[in-house]
Amino acid sequence: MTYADPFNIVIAGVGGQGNVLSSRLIADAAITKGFFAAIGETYGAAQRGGSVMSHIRISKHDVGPLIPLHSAHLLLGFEPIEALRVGARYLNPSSVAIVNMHPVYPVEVLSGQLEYPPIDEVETRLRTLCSRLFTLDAVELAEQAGNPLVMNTVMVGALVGTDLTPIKTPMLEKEITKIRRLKEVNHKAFNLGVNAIKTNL
Amino acid sequence: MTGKAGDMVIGLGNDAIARGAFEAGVHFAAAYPGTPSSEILGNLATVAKDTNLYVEWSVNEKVAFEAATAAAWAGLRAMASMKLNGLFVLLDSLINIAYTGHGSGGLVLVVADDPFAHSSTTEGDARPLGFYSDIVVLEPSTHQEAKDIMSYAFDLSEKFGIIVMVRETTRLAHSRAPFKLGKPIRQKRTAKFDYNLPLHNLPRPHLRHGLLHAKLDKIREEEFEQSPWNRYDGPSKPSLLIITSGIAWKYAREAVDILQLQDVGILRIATLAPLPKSLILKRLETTTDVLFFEEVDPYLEEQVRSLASELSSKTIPRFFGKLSGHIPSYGEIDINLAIKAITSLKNLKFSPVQEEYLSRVKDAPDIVPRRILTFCPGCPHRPAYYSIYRAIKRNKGKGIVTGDIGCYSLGVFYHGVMRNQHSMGAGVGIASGLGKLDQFGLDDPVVSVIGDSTFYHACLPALVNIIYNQSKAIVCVLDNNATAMTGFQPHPGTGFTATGDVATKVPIERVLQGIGFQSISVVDPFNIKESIDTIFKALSSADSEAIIFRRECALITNRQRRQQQEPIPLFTVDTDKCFGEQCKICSVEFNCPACVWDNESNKARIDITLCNGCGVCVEVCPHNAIHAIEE
Repeated sequence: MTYADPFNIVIAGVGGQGNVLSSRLIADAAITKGFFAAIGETYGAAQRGGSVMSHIRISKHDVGPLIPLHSAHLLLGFEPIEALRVGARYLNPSSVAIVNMHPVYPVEVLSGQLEYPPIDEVETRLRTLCSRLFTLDAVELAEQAGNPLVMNTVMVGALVGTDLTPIKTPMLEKEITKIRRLKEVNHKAFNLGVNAIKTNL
Repeated sequence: MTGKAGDMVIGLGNDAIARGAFEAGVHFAAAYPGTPSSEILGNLATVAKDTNLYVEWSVNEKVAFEAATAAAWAGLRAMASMKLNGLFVLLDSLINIAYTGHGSGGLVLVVADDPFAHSSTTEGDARPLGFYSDIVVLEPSTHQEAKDIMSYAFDLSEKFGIIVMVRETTRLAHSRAPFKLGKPIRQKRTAKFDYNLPLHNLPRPHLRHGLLHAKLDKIREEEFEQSPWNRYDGPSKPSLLIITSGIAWKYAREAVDILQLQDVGILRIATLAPLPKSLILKRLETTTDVLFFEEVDPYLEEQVRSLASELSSKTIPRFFGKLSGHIPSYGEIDINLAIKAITSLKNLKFSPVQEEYLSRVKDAPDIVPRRILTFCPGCPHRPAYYSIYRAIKRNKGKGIVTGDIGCYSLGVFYHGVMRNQHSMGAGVGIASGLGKLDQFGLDDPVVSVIGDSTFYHACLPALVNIIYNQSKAIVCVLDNNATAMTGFQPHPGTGFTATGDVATKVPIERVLQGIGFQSISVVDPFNIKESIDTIFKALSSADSEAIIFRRECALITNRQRRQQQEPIPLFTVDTDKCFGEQCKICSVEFNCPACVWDNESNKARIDITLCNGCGVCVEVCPHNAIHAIEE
């Protein structure tokens, strides 16, 4: 199978969900396979509950860190409304989205000042943005693995589980085993993510 | 930092710059933290002890640069790194030291610009400031170049006795990409003071200015006109020539690739000051249309337009860019903007998706609520601001709060408590002025909010001014024992150095005492009642007062809890006592993200996945409805 070059993955989430680590795992796996990989992201809002977006580009060439508009091949949504916010800018009719449908409420929603949209509506709208949408509750799977914090590892598993990226499952699994914190939990979470997608394919 | 020569590693642009400085054999590195530059010194600090490298977090960028100058004067390789705002702080010293020279060592300044002001309060461009200061300006475009250019920068600085600035922007500093490590030259050098080499411009500074210009001309001729750091890719007679620098080069290249244009040439300039004039003129003669594609200011655009006056009028091309409106004059540039400008100049049509798709998905995110930035749950700044807010309310709304730079800048979003936010220390200077306006009829009390790291950085002169000129202000130092916004770097109040060694503490209260503040209170912001009372009392005081709100950053507390495997204290809401809708003090007024609103019961609820266990809400609740859960 040939892949687009550059292959563009965008991760949408909220500060504290582990975007940075996830994009590093994906890029490290790509580099191990001899690709060039670039990650574009901004910090600053990361620890303060703001929206966070990472761009990962896998290529044979020295590409820049930012994905052009509507040019993501794959969207990894760590949070439903963030997936919608980012998807509307980066998805296109042939791209694929994998979205954790477990919400992280904005502060003003938590305090009752704003409303979080109905989750079905978010899903319906996400479907209009891409060719295929996979949804899962990655937080629940992470809890199954032993810790809700490893949601990001579940999602990384789901990403390679699609078999749509130039990175294959064993390559990423190798990177996962290098994580020192919550080692076993992460490994389990990864496999749960891979399987969740495989059974959905 | 510790990889072997030949290793391919993936890292931030800042990691590459730090490694490059290390490979170049830097002996002395100083910095003040500032996004997006902080990782440079942070990285060097990790290898300092084993490699006879000295690193320090200085109190501010000016001191960092001056300290580095001293090391270069003594013959060492020295550098200072900072965000653009830091360059503003040291400009006077920079221009002076550029005149005097800095001895035989290498002196390199790394400046990180922040287009779009992702983590800043203004946009700005270091390149014209470097040009204005008569120093050399280099800018890498890739991670590999970011590493490699550091060695060149030090060599150049020593060869010509000139200060070299390396400019980067956020998208290089904070993006990750692979780069190949080189072999570090860890050259041992002994610091020597040359008593025959005074560094001053007297008696005739203007002559030094002339010598400096001659030196820059020499660098232009001998180095930059033929420099391999500049490159041209494209046909010999391009229909459109794009002139660019830094990471923008990658965007321009990709845009040309996407549009599959064979007749567009790209001239990438890495030696930005002094500019390689002949090289540029030669390229201008090959085309009729030039597009400038650069981050922040139209620096190349203005320089090259001025340079073009040396061409015969027949051969002057048409120029497009920020000055012509083809590229926005503010914000960050990207591939999309490059595509837009090129297609408009060449009358092409391009869209990555069909118009139909665009119109279909345009409104898709309109149901998405915003995410405002807020203090973390358990952050000591929230109760400090809450207390200021309550005390001013009690004072019939009278009290002007001036603000400053740090995590506590989010005070502008906290019921609008904080009224201004400018540069480091500016809030104190403004408070000093506001406190002198009573003779013109403005006698509202003034509260100046500053952070602990900011206190040392730039507040001291304005604090002295308040006392000396008998202005009146309540100075509130929010002391969370860290430079938290940029990643917990130590400062003079923490008792630690950049390399983790124990340092002499410079206690804030003793500094305030020395300056002449008569009343200095230290309160724990978690103690709401005492905090409100202390501020309220100060609001009606006849003298300037200082209040130190002392409580460690919640993220540090959390980290320590994790390490010691201590549980986070748990709290809950007694729904029988909660007043519900009519109150909402905990969730809306105090506004802690963990004090959530339960729409079903219409009562407050503590979200234990968000709560950091500070327990301040117990005191904030006027109905005693929140209490700790005993284990």
